[in-house]
Amino acid sequence: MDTSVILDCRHVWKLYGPGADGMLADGRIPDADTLAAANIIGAVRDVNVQIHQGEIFVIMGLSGSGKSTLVRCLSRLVDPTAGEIEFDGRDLLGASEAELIEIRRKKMGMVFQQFALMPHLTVLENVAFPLEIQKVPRPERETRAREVIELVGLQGRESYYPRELSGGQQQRVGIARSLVVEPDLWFLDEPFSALDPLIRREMQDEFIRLQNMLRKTIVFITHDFDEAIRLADRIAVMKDGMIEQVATPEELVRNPATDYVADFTRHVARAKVIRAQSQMEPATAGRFAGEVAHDSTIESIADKVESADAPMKVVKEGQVIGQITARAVIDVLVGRK
Amino acid sequence: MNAVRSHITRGRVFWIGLFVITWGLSQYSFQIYKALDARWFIRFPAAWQLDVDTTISAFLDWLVTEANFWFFTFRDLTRAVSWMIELPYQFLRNALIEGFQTGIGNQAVEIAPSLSWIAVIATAMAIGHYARDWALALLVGGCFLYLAVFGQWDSAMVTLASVLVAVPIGAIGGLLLGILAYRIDWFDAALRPILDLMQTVPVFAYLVPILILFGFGPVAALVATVIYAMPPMIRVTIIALRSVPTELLEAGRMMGATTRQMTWKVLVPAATPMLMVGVNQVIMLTLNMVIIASMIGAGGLGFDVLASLRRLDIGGGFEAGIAIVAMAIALDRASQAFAERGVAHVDAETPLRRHRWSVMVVLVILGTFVLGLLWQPIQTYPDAWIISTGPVWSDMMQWINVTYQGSLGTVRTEFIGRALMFLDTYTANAHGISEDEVPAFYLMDRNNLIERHEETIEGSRGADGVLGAAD
Repeated sequence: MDTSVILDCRHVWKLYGPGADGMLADGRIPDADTLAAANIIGAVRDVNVQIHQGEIFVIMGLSGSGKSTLVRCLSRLVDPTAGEIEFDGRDLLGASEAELIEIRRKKMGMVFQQFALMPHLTVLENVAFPLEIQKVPRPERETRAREVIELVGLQGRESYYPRELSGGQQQRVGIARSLVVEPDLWFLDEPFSALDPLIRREMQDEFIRLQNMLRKTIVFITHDFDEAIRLADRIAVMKDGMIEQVATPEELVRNPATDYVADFTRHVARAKVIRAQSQMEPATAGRFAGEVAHDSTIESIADKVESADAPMKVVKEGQVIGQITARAVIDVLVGRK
Repeated sequence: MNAVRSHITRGRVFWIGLFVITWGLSQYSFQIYKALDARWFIRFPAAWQLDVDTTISAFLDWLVTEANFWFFTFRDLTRAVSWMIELPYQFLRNALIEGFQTGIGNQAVEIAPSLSWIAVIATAMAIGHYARDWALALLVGGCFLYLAVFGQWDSAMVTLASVLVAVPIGAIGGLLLGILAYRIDWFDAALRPILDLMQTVPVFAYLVPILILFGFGPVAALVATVIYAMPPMIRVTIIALRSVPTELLEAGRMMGATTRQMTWKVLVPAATPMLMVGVNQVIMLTLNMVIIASMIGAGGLGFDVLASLRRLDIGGGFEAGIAIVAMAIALDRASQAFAERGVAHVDAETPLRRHRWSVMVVLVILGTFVLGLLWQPIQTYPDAWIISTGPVWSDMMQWINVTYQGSLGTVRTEFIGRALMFLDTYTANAHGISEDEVPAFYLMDRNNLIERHEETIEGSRGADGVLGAAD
């Protein structure tokens, strides 16, 4: 098995309704019509995902697509009806209550859509709360909490109560709280959906900054495709409890697996997603105007490549792997296939 | 034929059948009773009535005299409960009004006096300010000052002691039962009918059993009060805990909170503003019940009202009644303010400044204690300063009675006379008899009724006379 897989989720189902357990007996795989006929809601249906160490894995879907239920299955806030989930080489579904408490205390963190802050605690107490649950002595947990508060840029607000803060600031507290235990796996359940567009953008930048420092393994839920494209290393698109496609943003845009995915990708600014290496051709020119990194987006190199009088080298780890021409860049910009 | 049959459903047959049987019974039951000589057809036979009342009385008897659990008798249990309630109650009574003494009767030596009236008012005002602002402090202080100025202080402090004992028991007990019901489904299912019972059974129905179990006195009154005041707290607790946002619970679980931590660190604190609404209800119902429970020995303001009623002392009853209202306003406003109190951050401050109100209250208590030794009025509100409104109320009632005696009397006789005449006409029409036969129809002499009515009027005039004599 791939050792970099930190969370492995195989054939996970979550059905709601009377007699839901029976639907999956004897390894049957009911389809949507069978479930509808039995009056059972298939919130999560036969989901397989592998989440790798250090990646941002985004689960994207509209409301009712089962993305929130899936992430609650992955953290076992909800017990799946069937399937296997392995976390860090341990069977998560077989874990006892005590083991689960231990795993959640040390290895998991979660950020919630509505922030889920304790209204009666100050910012400092909220951030230190997970450590208080673990019975860490007060001076130690407050020192640790102050560090994380500084990390999310809330210093000076330690003695404020949540209702005295703006939505963006409250979510910073939520983020700080989930980071205070230094989790291995970080769940974010639509963390920016309740925020205004401007603040949301700012928080996304903040999130990218944090991730560049911390390099956590992240499962990020969103209904916003642009947000998914912006943040993800890989995206799983969900519909009606099933995963339509799992791919990098670029693959998703270039080769949508289904019409449903294509609907989302149609309006995406392709230049922001497509990278130099996928527009390059074999290096044949005798003269190059310069070089670009293989994973830089077309948007970031468009001006440089287009204004040059010769193709540019595409470089990966010091090796020239191809060339990119002004024509190839313009193809992407005007949306030509 | 099938078309007809399709209209005959089981439901229709049932309802039509029920109607026919009911109509037949109402029309011919008398004949059936005569024909079959079955009196049970008309009246529910006495032999079939269950003697629940005697059974309950016997059970209570058995409980008090014989019931024996493995290690203790039921008597021991009630005594233990009495002791647990009596101890804090007596302490509060000593602290608020009686002072602390050793020895009994003439040998009694005072160790420490009770809190001075100034100290009690200052404490109440500090609580009011802590709960909201200066306006509330003044309102609460004003209400308590009213109690002192109008001579209700001693009774009011006895009532306050009852409230201060009953409210924590009711609130904490209700909270614990509510949490249990929230956690355990079958407990919730079992608790609901009991709560309905506690809230619908008339208070007087359980005053007597409690009297038998705990004897006449403040303890019995407090037990009755707690039974009366606890159900709303239980209900509010269940609702408050259920309305804690799901995300907050999930957040708690994701932090790895144990069940106990979930309850005391997440659920209860998050639900506190709503729980305070329940506490407010407990306070108000406690105050309400402390009055009714004066019949089984609660003492205090409720007893004053009851005693005044018995003496037909309208003024005294009014004064004690208004004192209860003043106390209710103070307690209600303060506890509501606690429920609505929003927390705001405070910047760093010194411990003395942080606890300035507690410090001030302690200073006032100590200061009035020392000064009270030198000058009595600081310790006890002097009788000479008391304003009594009692005579005013009595005078007013008397004046109304004297001035409007004629017109009030006319209204009373006219109204009742006309009502009776209307009743006569109605009865005569309804039964097809002449109006003259109506009294005979009711086997009651109409004049007799009017005479009896006149007597009641005479009686109330007599009562006025008593009032006058009392003045």
